[in-house]
Amino acid sequence: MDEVRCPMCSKPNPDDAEECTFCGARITPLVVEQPSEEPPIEEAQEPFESTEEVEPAEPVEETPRSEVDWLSRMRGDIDDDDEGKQLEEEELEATQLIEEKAETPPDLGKTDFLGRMKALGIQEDEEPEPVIEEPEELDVPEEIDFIGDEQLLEDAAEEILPEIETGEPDVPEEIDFLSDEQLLEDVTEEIPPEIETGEPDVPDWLARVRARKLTDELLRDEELEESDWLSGLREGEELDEDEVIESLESAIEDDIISELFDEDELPESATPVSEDAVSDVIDSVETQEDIEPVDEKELVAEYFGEGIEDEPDVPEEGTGEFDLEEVDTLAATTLKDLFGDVELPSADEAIGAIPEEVEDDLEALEAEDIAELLGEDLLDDLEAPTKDIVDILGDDLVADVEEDQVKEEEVELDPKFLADIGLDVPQDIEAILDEELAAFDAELIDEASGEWDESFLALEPEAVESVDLAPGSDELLRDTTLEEADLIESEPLDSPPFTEVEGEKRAEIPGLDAVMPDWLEESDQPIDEELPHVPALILDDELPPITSVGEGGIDEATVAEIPVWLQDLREDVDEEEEGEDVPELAKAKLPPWLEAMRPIETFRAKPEIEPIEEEEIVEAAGPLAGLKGVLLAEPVVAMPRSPGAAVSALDVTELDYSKAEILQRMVDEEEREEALSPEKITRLPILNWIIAFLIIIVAVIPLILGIPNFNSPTRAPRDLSQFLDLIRSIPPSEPVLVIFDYEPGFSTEMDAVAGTLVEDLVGNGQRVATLSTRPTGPLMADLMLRNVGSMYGAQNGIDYIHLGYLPGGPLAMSLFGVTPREALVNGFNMPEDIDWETAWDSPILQDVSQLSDLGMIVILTANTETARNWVEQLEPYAGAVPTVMVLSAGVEPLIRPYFESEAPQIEGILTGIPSAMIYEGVIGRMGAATEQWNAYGTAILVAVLILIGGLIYGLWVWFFRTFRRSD
Amino acid sequence: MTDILGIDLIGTLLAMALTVMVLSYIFGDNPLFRLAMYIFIGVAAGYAGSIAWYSILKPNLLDPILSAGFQGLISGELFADGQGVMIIGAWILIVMLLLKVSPSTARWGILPMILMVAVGAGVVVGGSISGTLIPQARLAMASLNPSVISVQTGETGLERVLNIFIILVGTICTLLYFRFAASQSPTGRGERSSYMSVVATLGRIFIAITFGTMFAGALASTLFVLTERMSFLVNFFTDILSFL
Repeated sequence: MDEVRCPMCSKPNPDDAEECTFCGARITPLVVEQPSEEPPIEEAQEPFESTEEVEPAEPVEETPRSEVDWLSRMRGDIDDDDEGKQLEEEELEATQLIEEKAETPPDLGKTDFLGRMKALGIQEDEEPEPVIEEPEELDVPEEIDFIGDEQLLEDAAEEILPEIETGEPDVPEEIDFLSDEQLLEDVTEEIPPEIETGEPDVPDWLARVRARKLTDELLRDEELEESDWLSGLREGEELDEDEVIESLESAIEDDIISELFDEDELPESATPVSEDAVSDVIDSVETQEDIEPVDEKELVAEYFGEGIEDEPDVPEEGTGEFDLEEVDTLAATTLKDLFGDVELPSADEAIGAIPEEVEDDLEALEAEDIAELLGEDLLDDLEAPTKDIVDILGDDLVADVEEDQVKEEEVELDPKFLADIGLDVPQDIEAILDEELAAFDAELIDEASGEWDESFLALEPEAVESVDLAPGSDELLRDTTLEEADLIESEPLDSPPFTEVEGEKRAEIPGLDAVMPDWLEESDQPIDEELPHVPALILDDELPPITSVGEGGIDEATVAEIPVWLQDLREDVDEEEEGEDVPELAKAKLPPWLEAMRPIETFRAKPEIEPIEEEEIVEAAGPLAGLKGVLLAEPVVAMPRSPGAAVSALDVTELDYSKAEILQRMVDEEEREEALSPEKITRLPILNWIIAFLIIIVAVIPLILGIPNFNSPTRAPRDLSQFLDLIRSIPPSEPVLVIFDYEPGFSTEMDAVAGTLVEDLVGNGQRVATLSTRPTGPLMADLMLRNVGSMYGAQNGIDYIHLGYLPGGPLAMSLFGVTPREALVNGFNMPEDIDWETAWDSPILQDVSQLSDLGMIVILTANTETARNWVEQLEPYAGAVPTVMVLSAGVEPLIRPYFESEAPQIEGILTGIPSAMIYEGVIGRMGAATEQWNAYGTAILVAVLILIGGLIYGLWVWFFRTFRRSD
Repeated sequence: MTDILGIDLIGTLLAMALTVMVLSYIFGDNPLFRLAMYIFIGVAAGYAGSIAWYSILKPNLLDPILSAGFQGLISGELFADGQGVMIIGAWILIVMLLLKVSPSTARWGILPMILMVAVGAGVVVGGSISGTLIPQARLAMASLNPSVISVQTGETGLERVLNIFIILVGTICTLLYFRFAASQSPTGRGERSSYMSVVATLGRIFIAITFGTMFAGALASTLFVLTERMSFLVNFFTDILSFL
């Protein structure tokens, strides 16, 4: 499968790929649809009436690979310095040749023009038919008709052959870019039926005729130059130029088409005849026709100039002169139609340029010979429906033919030759053909030619030069290629190759206006506006209005390859123009049909190549590394560019802003010079002192003065009664475990509350065992029991015992709940006169092996955690043993939930000075609670007043500030 | 009557001096207060150390070894009832724990620390679940039954219902107050919804009442200590004045 290299990354892609599979770049340029309603440009209007019927060409949506190749090759040619120079040299040479030809005698120039027409070949099968007026049929690249000899043909073939690789034999390289189906259909609609039907277009007979023509014209030009056939034609009867032109156009058309196709592309039947075959054909014609031999060398010299005059490969055999001369005439008229903007000789002049030999040839060419030359292909072509021919011709042309038929004289040329060769020509067409042939009188041609020569000589040099160049398709090609080269090089031509003949000058040409048909007059409308530059890949709405677009919808003609010899010609011409101050050549205007075929993308080379050419950048990567002037694929791909999509905005929240502000503030503070802070004014805690002294005073005053004297609480709390009931219900045989878990700092309160309980227990004869999870606990227990024991005669080891310090916190509590004896082995402050070793061996605890063996568990603590741990760890093992707590006043609120429940975990709580005072009252003891009751009460009262005062002050400040803020 | 001529007199003077020194904190932090604090901390620590030595270490870890002697250690008499293993294991753990004194050997104290923390945490958590969380939750639900008469408080009728309502609201609001999950506000800060804000405010009020009650109890205890110290000072100076 063919591959297409991406212009951006130079990587291969399938032939039909539109976009590069690697980089995504578009391989086939995107051509935006042209507005079909674009009004045709007047300057570019086709002079043919039938042109109006041609539908605008569909926009080219895709550019085939061949076009890319063609475009890249063009770039390569332009970019290459050597080749560029060579091109300039060739152009200069061509210019010099043109200058030389301009200096030649008028008749020589005329014959040169006609001689150049020989290169177009002959279409004998269609020469009398007016069907050839179809303008779209002339889709002929212009570089093919100038190939006058084999060497030139080979040169042209070498340039064309590499281009034709698409396997589309019906489409020459120049229109290979139309491989797009839609565009190809449009083009084929414009191509004559011969091409449309795929007639490959060049039959054998046509190839043979062309080959013979190519060889003969070279040999005969010189002879024609010397013959004064043009003067004879001047005197002849005027011939209807329209008819002649129309009849000759079709012949030239097929001839041109045959030139378009390469040998390899053509079918076997259309393969160009070899040199020998051409010679055979020529011989056969010569033997059958009584044709005077023409000095072919003179013709060649006349046509190609001296430089080509000595071409060695021109065959010596004479050929039918009729073919060559007629082709010259046909080509002249046809190209005139093609390039309406170019000053062309009138039809009479063109016809007059046909030598007398043409007439002889026509007469001598009998039907049988023609049939033999034409072959079957031509017969098939001629059998095409005549309706199509009439349609192609158009009504106007038919009417003109009819008018001319009435006016003009009968000619002796047998118009029935088509019928003789077996063609079934309708009656009306046959009449037209008869008229055409009849008008093809030698005298008329001679006369017309003479008039044309005179008018041609009367022209200004510039006009003459233009006229001289216009009919030749080689000039067309030269100008076209030069134009293309100029487009690429962005250097406008100093001297356009073609200049329009102004109206005044044209009026000076005798007989020109008289014979000028309407359509030709229309074609004379100057085309001043240059073709617009179409940038690459722009949308419809961005495209400027195409002012030079023809009806085909595609502007500009295809760019053709410039042969080497033509480049030399141009260089010569340029040099002479510069040296001799030769008037500038008018710039050629491409015919609309050629512009229609020209791809829009042709102009892309200009903006794309120009900077590359100037910079001469060498490709540094990829398969094209090291080459100059190539497209910058790798750099463009690797070129950093801004991201297509905008970076998403940061999602900054208020928190981010606040943090940023904090950070900014911190930075600012770091930079800020720290001001010297004034010395702090130490404010004396007078209020604290007042409160402290007030409380102390009110606490001391009752102690000293005995006032105020508060009454003892008369109603005991509900929980105290339950607590007392439990104390009273303890069996005397079961010891009571009292846990002293408070620090010495809480001893005053705890001793005041718990002392009453211990005194009650000891006083009731309960045996008490103590322990503590705090190191100071055993000492506190020993001090209390020693004091109580001193009052009630209780002795250590007998009435109470100290298990001591239980280290380990909750773990030790749990262990003590499981195995009390293993948790605490040694006792504390054990009496010395005992005969047992451990506290568990004492008479108090000797019957206790577990907690359930105790009569009651009393927990004295001023710490919430300690109280909860004891509850949690001992409850599972305590069983039915009641657990009571003597708590500090600050702990009691958090422990009360264990007491006030449906299944209390603590059976009794004794807390606070009031409860202790009541308890003291119950047991009839004057304890610390009673002694401190007045002082305690006064201090509590003062404290409460202070709290209330502080609360009032706080509320007042709060209301004041709130009120002031509201104001 | 304090024996001002005996040992009690010295003790009483020291007690009076330390009391004044501590009360000197009314005028702010001062050397007397600090001295009193150092004395108390030092005495407490010394006393705790002595208690630990004489009550725990010496009788449980040292006396068995000393009593058994070297012969008992070699002959295995010490390890007959497993006491020796416990003693050796305890000493190993103690030594390892003492290695935490030096940063270079502190890693060796990880094992006894892990043992104590893990076992202690397990015991505490287990005791909290079984001794506090489940029983208290169950009892709280049971207390919501108005028909049940509280054993301790004897509440009945409307009083019981009102008490149950307060308990219910207080419990829920207090628990919801500690729900710190909140939706993110536009400023990025977590904010409670208006409903949760009201509930949390009620919970905070209940917590404040609880802490106020605790503070009141602590204040009462402190005032009682103060009055006791003032009573001690009054008695001391009264005895001195009476002696003079």
